[in-house]
Amino acid sequence: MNIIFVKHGDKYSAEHVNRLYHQLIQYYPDANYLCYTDDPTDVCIPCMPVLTKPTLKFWWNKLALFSEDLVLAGIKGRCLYFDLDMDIKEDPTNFIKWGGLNILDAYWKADMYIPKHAYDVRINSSVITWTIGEQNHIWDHFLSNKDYFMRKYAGIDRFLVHENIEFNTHYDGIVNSVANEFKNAPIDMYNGIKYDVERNTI
Amino acid sequence: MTLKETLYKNALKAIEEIYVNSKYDPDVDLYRSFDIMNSVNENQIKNKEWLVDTLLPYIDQDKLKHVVILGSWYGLLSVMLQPKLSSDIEIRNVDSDKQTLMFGRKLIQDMDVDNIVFEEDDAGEYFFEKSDKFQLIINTSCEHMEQDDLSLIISMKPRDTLICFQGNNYDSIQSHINTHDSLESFVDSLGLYKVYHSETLEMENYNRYMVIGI
Repeated sequence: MNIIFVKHGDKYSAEHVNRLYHQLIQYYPDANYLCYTDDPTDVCIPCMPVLTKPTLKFWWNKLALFSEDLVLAGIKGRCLYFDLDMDIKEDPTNFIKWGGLNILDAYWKADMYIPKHAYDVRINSSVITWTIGEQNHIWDHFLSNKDYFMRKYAGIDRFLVHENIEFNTHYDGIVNSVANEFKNAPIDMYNGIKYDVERNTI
Repeated sequence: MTLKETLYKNALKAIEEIYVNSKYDPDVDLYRSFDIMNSVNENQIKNKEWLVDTLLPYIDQDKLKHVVILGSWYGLLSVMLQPKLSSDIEIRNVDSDKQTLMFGRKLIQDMDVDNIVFEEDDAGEYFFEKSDKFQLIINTSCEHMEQDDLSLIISMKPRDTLICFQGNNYDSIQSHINTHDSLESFVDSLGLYKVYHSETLEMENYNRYMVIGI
């Protein structure tokens, strides 16, 4: 199994990658850890350079994980992706679903009013599982009209849902969204709030 | 009816059509209506007027036969430029989003602009196959294009082919992958043989740059 992180730009540092790696390795000692990044400085795991083309900004680089380039780079098998603004507190294995594309159910948005034309969604791609080479259609579809998609959608979660990409969600209870009411879960996620790596030492 | 009035009438009609169709077809893309609105908003008009007024003195209409607008969106610039040119000059809008071509054609309905053509293609790839065809190359969305594609376009064009390129420093937009901090930086990035004109237009949230040269 591959465990993959994406670090692009200066929002997150090598420290964020390294800390998440150290949190995860106790549960997944045999995994192949990989960081997809434009700056491998101080990252303690093997890195894969970002694609030279197309140039993408922010979170859109996550979609490149579904490009043929990962296959060509010799990466094989199952992949488990984590956003960098997370804390792994316990072994999340029993909450993780495999087969196809799996992302998070954004339980904290369950009661939120979402007008159709706002394109907001009740899923979250902070934890993703898939098998290399089986989801390349996502990247290909994004490339088919990328500028329009980047204008239309404020992020890749909306792109996935509204472009009718097939997915399932991980088992309920995998994450606790710290911006919302506490929920006991193996992973704390800081989605949408400032994440400070020094806040919690390992 | 003035050209601008006709343009807005057509834009409203296109938006109305999207809304009406969305009542019966769940696959209709409502965002497209917002995109069309943005393409003809005050800033877009201001910017295109600036371009047309500035560019015209550099155009030799006796030699100009074919104009290409790379990354043309819904073709607003072609609508504003064409009436200022001789009617036998063809303006070719090229954009990779095929929906922009369909709606672009709707926006020019009832206008006396016979020589405006829309084509679906990647701007760079389209130009690389036809690099000798055009005497004027316009690109008002350099911030969306890879720098090496822009450089390749300039290196492949005949020496005397005029270019009019625009970029900006609007870095916070997700799809703006090639912005510049200054006009000088934008001019330098293009590596032109001769720069005839370079200027900055200050917009509310950003600066827009324009370079005319060969």
